[in-house]
Amino acid sequence: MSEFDVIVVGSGISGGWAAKELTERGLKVALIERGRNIEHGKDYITEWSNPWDMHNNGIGKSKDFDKKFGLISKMYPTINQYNEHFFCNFETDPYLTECEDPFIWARGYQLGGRSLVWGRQCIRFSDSNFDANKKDGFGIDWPIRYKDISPWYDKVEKFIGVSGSNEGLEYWPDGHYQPPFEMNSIEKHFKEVIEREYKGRIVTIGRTANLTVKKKGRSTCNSRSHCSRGCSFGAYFSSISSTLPAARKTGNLETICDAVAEKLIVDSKSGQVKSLQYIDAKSGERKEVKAKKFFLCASAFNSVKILLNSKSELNPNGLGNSSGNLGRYIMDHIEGAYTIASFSIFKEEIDQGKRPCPIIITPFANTTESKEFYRSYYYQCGADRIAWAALGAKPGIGRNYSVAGVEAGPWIFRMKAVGECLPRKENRVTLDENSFDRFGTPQLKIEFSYSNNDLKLMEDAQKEAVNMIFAAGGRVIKSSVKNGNPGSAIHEMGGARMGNDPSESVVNMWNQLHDAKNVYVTDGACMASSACQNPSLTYMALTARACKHAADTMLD
Amino acid sequence: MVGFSLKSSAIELQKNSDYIRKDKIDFDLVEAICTTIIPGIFEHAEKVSSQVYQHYKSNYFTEWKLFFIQLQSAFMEEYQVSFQESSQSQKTYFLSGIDADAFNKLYEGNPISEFFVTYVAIKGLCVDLYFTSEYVVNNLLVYNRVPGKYIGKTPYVENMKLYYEDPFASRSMIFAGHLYE
Repeated sequence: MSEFDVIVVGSGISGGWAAKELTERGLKVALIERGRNIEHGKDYITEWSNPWDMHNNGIGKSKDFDKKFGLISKMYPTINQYNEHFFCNFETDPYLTECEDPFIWARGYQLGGRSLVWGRQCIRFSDSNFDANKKDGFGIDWPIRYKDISPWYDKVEKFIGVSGSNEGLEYWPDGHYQPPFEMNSIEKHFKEVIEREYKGRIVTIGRTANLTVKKKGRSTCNSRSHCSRGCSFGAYFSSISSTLPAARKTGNLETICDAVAEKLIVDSKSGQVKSLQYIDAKSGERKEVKAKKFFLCASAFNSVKILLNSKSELNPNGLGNSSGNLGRYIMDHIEGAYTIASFSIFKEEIDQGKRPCPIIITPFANTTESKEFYRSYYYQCGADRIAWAALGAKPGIGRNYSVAGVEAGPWIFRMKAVGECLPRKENRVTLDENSFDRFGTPQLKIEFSYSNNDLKLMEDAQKEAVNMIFAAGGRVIKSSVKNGNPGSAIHEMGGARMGNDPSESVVNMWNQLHDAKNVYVTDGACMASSACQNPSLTYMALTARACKHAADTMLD
Repeated sequence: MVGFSLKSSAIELQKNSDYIRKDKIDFDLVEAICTTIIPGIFEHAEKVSSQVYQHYKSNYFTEWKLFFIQLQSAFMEEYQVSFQESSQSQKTYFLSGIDADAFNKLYEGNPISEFFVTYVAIKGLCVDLYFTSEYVVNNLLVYNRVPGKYIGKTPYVENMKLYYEDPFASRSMIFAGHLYE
């Protein structure tokens, strides 16, 4: 049996960082990835595809899409013909969900995981986020504050490359940014009006992990906005383009693909974990690999699944579950308040290229404006002039009608809100001992619903969106409160929440299991609250921080 | 034609229909509808007919089948000739009526029947397939695969060629759940 200093499970956003940080600190690391190997560039098979190369010119679903993706097919067109090979097949890797609205668990089983298809928004958590649970009593207090993670945000941002703009806001902390992408005229107009008419509301460019200044081995963003196909320019951050090459360069990394982590095996004397059992996805053979420390970065629910499945005499309810809270307090973000408007100004202008990020209205609910609900939301927005893409929704037929498709339409402004979900005990994942996957491991069961507070956020966001459009002189074409299915933000988190008290939480302030200190859980599972910010930057920062702790304590 | 109405139930029409084969679609009818919506569509987007057929077959078999039966029957009642054998002006007049009815109902926020839903879907498909066809993308639009940089403000003058818009570009996708419903 091979033996390493550290085993990292999962190669996505968090696992890539763990591999980089640990190997650069001189540790021998085995990176266990359940999916197939992916080579940067070579395996971005649709990156250069023309529409006419695709099934039905790329329009609509691929053949057997619904069958293949099952519940996840609700994610069309976010998951589409150009990127579906980077998403997990529901037929071969099913899960159970007991929700009024089914929970969409969109996974990426390949080297690099979902870092290949992520939304790339990099927004720091603030002290008001780390304080929130303590302040209003939902969930438990985070054991860390902004000062604990701030240096790690610095480190991550500098390495991955984030473009954006500093705004000097406590609740939306500044960072180390490359020059921002440009706003177009409508967006600038909207910013000017909103910031003038609504004191304290800030409209800014998205903080996105797309380069505007090149980095070694990676060139600047070409504004194709095809990120989810993979980018051979390496212009957006992914494990494949950035952290894994850095880890490989040390000579300390061994990558094992097609290896499905099944359980951690505990030494009955010490109570610490001694090895990982995984299943060779090709042969079905069970194998064991030893290490001194273990990093679970398999994505929130899969990391929890491994822990729940790591039952032993010492840990009959799963490893790290002495509090009974393993799998509980799962969260996602709630997305909704979709609003579309048109503007009949700036007709003599158009934009060029496809900017890979939205503009943002930073959270004002319960930051600068009091509301009758808890927590907050922010908006992602953007404007462009669309032509043929809107033609099908317009009346008319014949030659004049089709000619209109090559003329620029009015500026269309779109908004959507992203809100915080409260951490609640009843939202949880468990193992179903009666349903097994193709590897013979119990299937994960997800129980999740939005709280009334979550829904109130979106109701308010929809109302405020319409008001802001009117204030800016736009005409609302459509606006609805309607939320996406739970999980559709693809920001699932929680299940192994961080806290100081082992009787209430699963990991401590260093992301170590209270019950087995040589196991670190550094992906979304550790989150004690969700804030409304996109969470990946925080996962990366927490991972880098935990790696230093692991390396330092190993050297001790 | 001011409005479009169906005088017989779909099932009754299906039973009595000589115009539509029960088990498969009539390609001539599909082509006639598509070329009426976008004249010349098959010169540039030759796959449209089979693509409409694929959608018909794989996604919406019952609704789409009834749509073609209903449309053909209503047309026959009015003109005593099949849709595909009629003159271009008859086709245009007839489809314009359906189009106006569908969009009036949509704009008024009224619920629309499966017939109109199917019509709007076919029309949308024609538009999408036409404007993503190799000819249109390369000739009527500017196909710049690597723009290099995003520029927020450039002059727009009438009749200038526009850049090809990728409906799956990330920025649009932010709103996908809404736009594609």
